[in-house]
This record gives sequence, C-alpha cells and structure tokens, in this order.
Amino acid sequence: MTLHSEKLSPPPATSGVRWWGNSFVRVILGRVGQLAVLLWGVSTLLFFLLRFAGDPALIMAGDNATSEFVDEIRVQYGLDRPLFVQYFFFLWHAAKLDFGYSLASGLPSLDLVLAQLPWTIKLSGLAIMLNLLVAIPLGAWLGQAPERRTRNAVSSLVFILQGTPGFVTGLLLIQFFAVKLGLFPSIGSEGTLSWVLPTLTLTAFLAPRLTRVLASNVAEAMQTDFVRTARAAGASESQVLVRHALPNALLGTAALAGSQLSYLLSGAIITETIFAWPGLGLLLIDSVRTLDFPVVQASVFVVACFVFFVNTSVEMLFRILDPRLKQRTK
Amino acid sequence: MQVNAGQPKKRRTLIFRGLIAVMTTALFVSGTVAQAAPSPKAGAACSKAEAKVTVKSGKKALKLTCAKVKGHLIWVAAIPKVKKPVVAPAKLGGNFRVGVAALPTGKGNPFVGIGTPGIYTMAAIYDSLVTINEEGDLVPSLATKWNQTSDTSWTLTLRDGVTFSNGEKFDASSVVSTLSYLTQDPVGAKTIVAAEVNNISSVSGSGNTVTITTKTADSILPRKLTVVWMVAPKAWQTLGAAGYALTPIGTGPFTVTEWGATAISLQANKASWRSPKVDTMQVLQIPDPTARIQALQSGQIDLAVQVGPDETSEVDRKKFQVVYDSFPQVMSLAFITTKGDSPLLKKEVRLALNYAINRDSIVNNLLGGKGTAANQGSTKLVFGYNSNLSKYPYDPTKAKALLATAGFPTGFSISADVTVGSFPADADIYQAVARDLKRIGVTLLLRQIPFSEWLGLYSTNGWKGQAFGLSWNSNTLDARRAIGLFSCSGPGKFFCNEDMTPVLTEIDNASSESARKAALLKAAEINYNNPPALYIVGQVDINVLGSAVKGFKNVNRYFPYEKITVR
Repeated sequence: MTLHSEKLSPPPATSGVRWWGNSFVRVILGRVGQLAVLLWGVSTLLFFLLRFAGDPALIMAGDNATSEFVDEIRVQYGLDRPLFVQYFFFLWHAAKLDFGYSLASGLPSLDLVLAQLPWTIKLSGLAIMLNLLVAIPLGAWLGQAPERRTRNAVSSLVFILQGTPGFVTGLLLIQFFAVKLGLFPSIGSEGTLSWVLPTLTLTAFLAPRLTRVLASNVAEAMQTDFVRTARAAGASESQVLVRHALPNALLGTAALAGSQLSYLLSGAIITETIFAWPGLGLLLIDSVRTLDFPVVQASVFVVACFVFFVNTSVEMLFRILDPRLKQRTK
Repeated sequence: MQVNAGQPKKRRTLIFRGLIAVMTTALFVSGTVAQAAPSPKAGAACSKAEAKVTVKSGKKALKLTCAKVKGHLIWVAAIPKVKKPVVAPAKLGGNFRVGVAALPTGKGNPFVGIGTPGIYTMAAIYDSLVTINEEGDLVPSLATKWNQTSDTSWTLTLRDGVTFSNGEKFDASSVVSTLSYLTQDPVGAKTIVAAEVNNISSVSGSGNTVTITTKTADSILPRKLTVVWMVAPKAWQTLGAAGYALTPIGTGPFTVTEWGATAISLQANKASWRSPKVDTMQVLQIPDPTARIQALQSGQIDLAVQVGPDETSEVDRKKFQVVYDSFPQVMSLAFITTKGDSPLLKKEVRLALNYAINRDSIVNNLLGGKGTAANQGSTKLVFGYNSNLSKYPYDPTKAKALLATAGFPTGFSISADVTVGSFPADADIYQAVARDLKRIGVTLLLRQIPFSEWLGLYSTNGWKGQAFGLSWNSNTLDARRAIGLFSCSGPGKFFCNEDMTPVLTEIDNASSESARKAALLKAAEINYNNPPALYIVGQVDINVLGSAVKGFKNVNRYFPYEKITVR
C-alpha cells in the first residue's frame, strides 16, 4: 500500500531553493509564453470570425443606403482593404494595446472596456466567494453520508437547481424580492442592496455544480484507507470530515472553482443583461449587436488576459498545495 | 498509525490559506482595475498629437487629449470611469425615469443613428427644425415656417429666442453649420443621417432665415429635416464629434449631467423653449423586456418602453397604464422574384398569398386589437397612403383558386429568412402566417437569422429562400422610401416590376407636394394589384407607464418629454 503521508511529504529543505529557482520560475516563464500564443490565437480567430459575421459598414449606413454610400464608409474605416492587410494592421496595433476606436461612438475601445471591467470583476468576486461559502459546507455535509434520506432530498434539490437556467433564477428572484416584497432593486448597481440579486443569481447557477462535485469527492474520500485509519484512531465523524476527507476533496474542487471564476470574468452576460449591470457582458452584447469590431476585440483580449491570470494562479496554488504535482514536474 | 498524524492538518491549513489568497487576489485585482480606469473627461478636435488641454463647456471643465481618430487629429475625451448608474429613489417628485432596451449606440452624437434606440434619448436633448405630429402632418419645431421658393430651393424661418444648453444662441448659423457638416464634411457626410439629406447642395442664411438649395427638385425636404437634430456650432467646433458624444448640447428640455454605461442622467434645461415640468430625468438601459416591466413594477422606473403583449399580460391595469400606439411601419414578407425559378414569379400566386392570411385574427389575438390589417406598404400616418384601396379579405377559397390558375393546385413550399424581436409578437405573427398559408397548401419554412446576417443578405441579394422579412418603414413618414426598396432600382434588387419604374421617376421629379402625393397613390395601387410582398400588419408600440405619470404621448416614438409630469 502506498502511504498517504508519502504522497504529501514536503520536499527536502535543500531542494526548496532549487524548486523555486528552477521549476516555479520556469513554469511562470512558460506561462507568459503561452499567454502570448493564446492572445495571438484568440485575437486571430476572433478577427476572422467577426469579419465573417457581417459587414459593420452596412449597419453604420442603414438599410436605406446606396451601395456607393456603403463603399464610402468602408473606405473611411479601412474596411475596403484586403482582409490580410486589415489583419496585420490590427495585429500591429494590438501588440501596442491599440484596438482603435469604437465604430459606434468613436471613443477609444480599450478605454470603454476598462471602464466597465471593474463592475464585472467585483460582481464575479462576490459571486465566487458566496459560491464557496455555500458549496463547501453543503458539499461536505452531503458527501459525508449521501445515503441518508434528508441528504438525498437536498441532493435532488441541488440537482434541480443545477439544471435551472440563470435567467429563470434571476427573473424569479426579481419577481419575488423586488416586485412582491420590494426588498432589493431589480436593476442597476446603485447601493449595496443592488448587489444582492445579481450575486444570488450567479451563485444559484454556480453553487449547485460545485456542491455536487465536492459532495462526490467527499463521499469518495470517506471510503479511503486514511479515513478508515483515522476512525480507528478514535477520531469523531466531524473530525474525520473536517480534518481528513474535506481537505483532500477540496483539492479537486478548487480546479472547478477556478474555472467558474474564469467563466464569470468572461462575462456573466445573461445576468448582466437582466439586471442592467454595467459590466463587460452588457458591453459585449451591445458591441456584437452593432458589429463594433474594435470593442469586441478589446473586450475579448482583456478577458483572455484575466482568464489566463486566474487559471495560472489556480495552477500555481495547486503546486503549492499538492506536492505530488511538484514532484511530477521535477 | 502515524501515517496521517501531522500532514492533514498542515495541508488543510495550506488549502484554506490558498483559498483566502485567491479571494484576496480577486478583490485586490478588482480594486486595482477599478482605480486604473480613467477619470471623467471629454474631447475635441486638435492639431498636435498627445497635447493636453482643459476647456470649459458651460460650468464643466473638460480635460482633453489630442489623438488620431480615423485619420484625423482631434481632441479625444478619455472614457469616464463608469460611475454607479444613478437610479433615484422611487418616490422622488419631479424625477422621470425611462427604461429602454438600449442606449444610443453613438452616445450623444446625434448623427450616427436614426430612430430607435437613440430617439428616446435624443428627443430629450435635441430638437429638429421640423417635426411630425401624431396625424402624420409636419409641424413647427425650431423652424416656424418653411416655403418652397422654387423646385430646388426652400426658405425656412427660425424660431426666435432659442438658446442651446451651453448658452449659444440658435440662429441661421447653427442650421448652416449642422447641415454643412452633414453634406460637406468628410466624416459627417458618411453618417447615417447624412444619407437622408444628401440632396442638399448648399445652405445659407442670416438671422432667422435660412435658404436651402437642393441638387434636384425636392418637395419633401422638410420631412427629411425631421431626422436632423441641431447642434451648437461653437461647441461642436470645440469638442468635435467624439467630445460632443460625451457632452451633448442641444436646445431640448434636458441636458446631460452624466453619461454612464447603462444610465444617462439629465437635468431640466429651464432655459429651453420646451422647458420641462420635471426637474430631472434618467434613461436606463434594461435590455430584457421582462426586466423592464419588473423594474416598473418595483418602482425603479416610471416608463417601460417597447415591451411585448406577453410582458404586459400580467401587469395590474389599476396601477399601471398600458399604452398601445400605432407605429407607421408595415410588417411584411418580401417576395424574391429576381433569383431564378420560383412560384412567386407569378402575380396570381403573390395575390393568393395575400388572400390567404387572416390579418384581423392576428391583430385581435396577437396585438390586442391595436394593430391594423395591412393592404399596402404604408399606414394612415404616412404621406402617400392610399385610403381608396380596400382590404384583402381573408378568403382561402379564392386563394386556392388563384393558385390553381397559376398552376399550383396542390400548393408548394417556400422558405423565408426573418429576424425577430424587433416588434411586439413578431415571432408569433410569422407563425400565424405560416399556419394560414398551410391551409391553402403552401408550406412556409421560417429561418430566424440575426440582423447582421440579414443586412448582408439584403445588400447582396444573397437570399437562399424565396422570401424574407422586411418592414415597410420610413424615417420621414413618406411612402417613397419603402416603395423604392421593392422596385427594380432598390438597393436589394430582389423584386422588379417595370410598371413601377416610370411612377418612381414621377415621384422623384414631382415639384409640388400634391403632384408627389398623386404619384405615390398611383404607386400604392400598382403594388396592391401586383403585390411585391405579403402585407401582414401595421405594427404597434406598447409602452407601460406608472400611474403617477401624466402627459405622456408617443408620436412615432418621439416623446415630448416637456409635457410629462410625475406626481
């Protein structure tokens, strides 16, 4: 039998400097390289997808415009040039973080994105924290003894919640808490209370999934040898859960929580639309509707950077928390 | 037994520390980014790149940076840091809050969009020279009189004592400046509004009199001027289009105090010739129609603009006013006859389809009885509407007979590309049409596409099916535009009836309003007897008001905000 303690044993003190000096820095540098490739790939894909999605000159000109008028608009915005010329022009400027000006408003597109990004980040941060606060205890409780009747019922409820679309939850929350009870605002971001319903909506969408994964991991951990050993040593059920099963189960769910944060940062579009939240999701929807290429490109660029940052942070965290990963990369 | 003795505790501590680190990092990053967002600024035109300057506009100090925009060096306003959208408490007197689906795409620049969504905001800030009332007639706005002095010349008399919100006087120079920008400026002449007035060759004037000369005879120039909002010439010169977009200045009843990401805050312009009765106003972007109704029900807005019949079905009529208004736009399925073989090439088939649908049922069941059964591309409000034409009766028997005459006794299948979500119940209406056509043996396959794809197919006549959704609309409430779309010379070129060509020439060359009207009536009759489309219904707008709101009126989506009071 492979002893659990062997898997988690810390590296010898002498290897610590080498690990940080070589492996960790190497990983970070590798990630920066990956980020550059990722940004190039995402930008390129988006550039061509957007061009095939439609002609912004037509939207700017309107459906009453003559073809000559539309052509003049294409010339004005450089849309008449060959696609690859437009692409290299875009890449050159994107490398300098210059995404051009919004076709709709004529304002710098990156500034438009940065102005709305904080609202999405703050809402995402709140939602992910509430998500963890709900999912960790609930998942641990459900996973501890999944066969019990009460927990089975709660498990079914969590399953139903997982299948409920976010917009349905959002509209129901508004109807009950804003329209019927008048406790919270249904739109906007004015005041602390206005954060409640959007945060709850996002949490209601995220928490069931995390809860179920954690419950499954905890249930699995409860059957392992080290848990049996802990029981034999006289640990109470709560001690077994909190000290032995849960920490192991959390390792797996941390990855999911990281990907959920990435999902939120990429724009909780529906939630932002329903609550008229001034975040990136709403900006993206408006920009796509009007084929405002520069704003869409700047938005996706910024989101890709943040998602990468979050994913890399989670991975680094894993390396610190789980020495097995460190040993594999040696 | 020493296997797990010390490690789990240490690892648990590490895990929890790690989680705390992630949360702290997220909060730190959000705070950092929030601080990194630029401060509020506005912008204008300039000559030296990267130069910075602070200008005063009214009581505001604007910090500007010179940058290259679309090939031109102009003063550019940095995007203001998004502040919390101001949603005032529900029971503040003198505050009017409007919930709309979208804010103007070009922010406060009045020349980059016509109609919705911009008009709901622009009508609070700007005025046009002439406007159209609920009967479809031209009425004075900033111009009190207009006369056609020759086939190609118009003289306008401007309203006395009007000032812009920054104190500039409105006079002939304002009109000359605005129209010159739209007809001569390399950027202005490419805007969507410019396309409506591109027949203007010169504008001149002094004091309160303006003379406009057109390239060809233009008997409806005043109608075209209804889509041109007047801007303050000195402010426009100073701020440029980008700066003006952030700090719009007009002669309307309100001035913008803050233009946020999802909300625009305005305050009363007491010096306006349309001085409002409320002190402040907010235009709030609430994209989802159900959310707009819920915001109204929860007291966060006073007016929910453009909602559907489904959203209003649960609204308590004792507490809220549901206002239906006809909108001068006819929903139709355009027939494609210029792309190879199709049953729709035959006139009898096109007539048969028009006899096959039960328009009254659609109006009564899907539009709450407020729409109109369409028999032409115009509604009563539109100049050129032919009231002598009778309705197409709902007559499936006659439709089947016409199909048999055309050689299709058992019917046929066609497909149509449509966009939905633009008008109340449009998806349901298309389904009802398909159901009715099925009864005469015609299978209509509907393909829903996004508007951007629709525009691309429309501009290239790249349709794969035999029909597509196209509304007969007119920004200037003149029937010529829509008739032109369905002609041999239309931009889409999807339908061609040579009989219409000389009539269109007659319309375009008409030197008087009466001559033009006669030609338009003739065109409507041609399109009635040889329909280029399956006319469905005249559309409606549904707006819902809080009971405290009085004086609301919807004049073709132009809301006279100055008449509104909120108890």
